[in-house]
Amino acid sequence: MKKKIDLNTIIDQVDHIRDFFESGDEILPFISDLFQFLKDMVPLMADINVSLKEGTDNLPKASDRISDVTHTTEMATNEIMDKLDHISNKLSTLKEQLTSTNCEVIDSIIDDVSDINMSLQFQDITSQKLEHANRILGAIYDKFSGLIKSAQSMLGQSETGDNLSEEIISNSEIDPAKKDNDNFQKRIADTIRSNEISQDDIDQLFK
Amino acid sequence: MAKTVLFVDDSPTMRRIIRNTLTKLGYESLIEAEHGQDAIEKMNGQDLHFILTDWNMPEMNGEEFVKFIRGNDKYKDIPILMITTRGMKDDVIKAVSLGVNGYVVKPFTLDILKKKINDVLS
Repeated sequence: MKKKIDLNTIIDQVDHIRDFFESGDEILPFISDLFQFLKDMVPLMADINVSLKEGTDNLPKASDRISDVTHTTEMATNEIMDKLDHISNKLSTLKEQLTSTNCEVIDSIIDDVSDINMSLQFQDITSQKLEHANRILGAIYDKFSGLIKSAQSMLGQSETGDNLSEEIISNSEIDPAKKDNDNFQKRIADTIRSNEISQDDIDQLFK
Repeated sequence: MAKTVLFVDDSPTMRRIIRNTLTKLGYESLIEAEHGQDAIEKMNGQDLHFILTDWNMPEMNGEEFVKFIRGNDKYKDIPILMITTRGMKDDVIKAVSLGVNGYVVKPFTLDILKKKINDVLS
């Protein structure tokens, strides 16, 4: 049997429908704005995706290069020190055969050789700075790898997420103009070098 | 009997420079180690005059090594001079709190090392 609907019920239903459309009129600009925002975000996220992948892929190579530099300078420094020891030994032998006036000259040369020897501390100092930079690179690599994994977790969760991911990936073309990260490098260098104190200040702490 | 000096640094370059410098300063009996753990093994049974140690090292770093020395009845009174690239004020304060007797930031000269050794021995 067909249910009888009175006039008041019909008026209530019309009011509901009208309220729905009125709400829709208010929500629609917001939804439209949200979609525009998402549309604008896609290229930006694509850029971030490219930088992240490119940076992450290059970090292990950069780290290996740094380790190579340390190894090479260590070998070269050792060879220089061998030569310096050889020169010092020859000068000492020569000194035994010379007069006292010439001995002073020889002593002066031996001192110079010794100073060169001491200057080679730069190899260890630069190696430790590089090692510090290497540790920073390692931490950045771990962080970036984590971010990439997080981005990938968006796939398969929803149709919108899949579409967004595909859009980001399809927009991910490397723009050479965006490769400049000098500012980042300067900031890292500043982190390494900041807040150093002098030997005199250190000596004060021991008094 | 010659006074034995232990120096600890993971860099072969620095070990060689320190060895040459100590020899010039008249120290003949020298023990060198690559890191704290290596030093602990090599110093066993030795009568050490003083210790020079780096901070950044693998296996056992300078901080851990100094803690070991200061916490060991047999070695706790041995003077320690730390030679390191770490030149931050916080690092030096930490080294003082650990019980090092002197602190030299690399690079050092022969004269500076000589003075600092005399300071920690006095």
